[in-house]
Amino acid sequence: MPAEAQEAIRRYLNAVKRAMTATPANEQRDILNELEAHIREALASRLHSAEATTADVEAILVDMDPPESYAGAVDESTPPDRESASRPEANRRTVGLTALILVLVGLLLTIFVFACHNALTKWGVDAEALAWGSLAVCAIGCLVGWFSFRTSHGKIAAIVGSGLVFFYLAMLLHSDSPSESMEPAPSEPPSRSISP
Amino acid sequence: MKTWITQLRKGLLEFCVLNALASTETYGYELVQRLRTIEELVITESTVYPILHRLRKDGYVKSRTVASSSGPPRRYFSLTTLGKRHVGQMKDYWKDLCRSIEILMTHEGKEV
Repeated sequence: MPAEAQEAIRRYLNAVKRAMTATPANEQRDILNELEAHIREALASRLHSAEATTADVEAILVDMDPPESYAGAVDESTPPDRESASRPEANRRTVGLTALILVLVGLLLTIFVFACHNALTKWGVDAEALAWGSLAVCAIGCLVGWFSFRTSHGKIAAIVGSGLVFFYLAMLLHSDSPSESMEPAPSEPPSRSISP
Repeated sequence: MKTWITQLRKGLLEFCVLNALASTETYGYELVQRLRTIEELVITESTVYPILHRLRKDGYVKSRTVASSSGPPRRYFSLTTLGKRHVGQMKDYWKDLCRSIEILMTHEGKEV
């Protein structure tokens, strides 16, 4: 390729580079490499292995976008509201996940209080306070779950949390505190055999 | 009308580039030529290359350099697994959107 033709390509690429001043350096480099390859491909498909002249190069450059169009093109290629649109969605997911974690913590605490009620009492731990605590955690998780019902985590938290809260409320109807109903039923005194 | 077309085109650029890459691995020049055939979209190299760069950065597109017999080495672009999933979701959304708009237009047409 004549030096003059190569100079024309270099001039075009430099003009594009100047237009992309607001673009990060690595992106500039990438686009300029692609553009250079584009020009060479265009020449190859136009000339079919014949030697390119300055006129051929200039004809191709005239067909291409003007260098200044790259100034806006980089911004145009990025959807402007992409990040801001995904932010509320990310927030909703975080809230849903928080709700699920709260409900799971409440559920585990409930199972723990149920399973270790006697041991807790023996160790002097207030099982009743723990039971009320797990009820509170479940209720908060459930509320947050309903608030973020649109997310999958929120949905699970709302449904499981509601079930747990109803379970606690049902127990409350039978006893004064949730922990009371967890106590094992006192064993029946051995019946005396009545001997005649 | 012009503003609406510009905004619509702008929103569809990424979708068109991803769809063009979904069918086959292709190099920059070929991709631009293929997209140029959609006259309504007026896609040129100054829009395609910045989009390709961003799609690569986002992990939707990967590239590999292959020697060419007809000229300089070519950088071939194709979709990554993430890119395939992304374009699949975009296609589903696009179909739903078209269907809804079609229903809306048919309904409006009947009322007018």
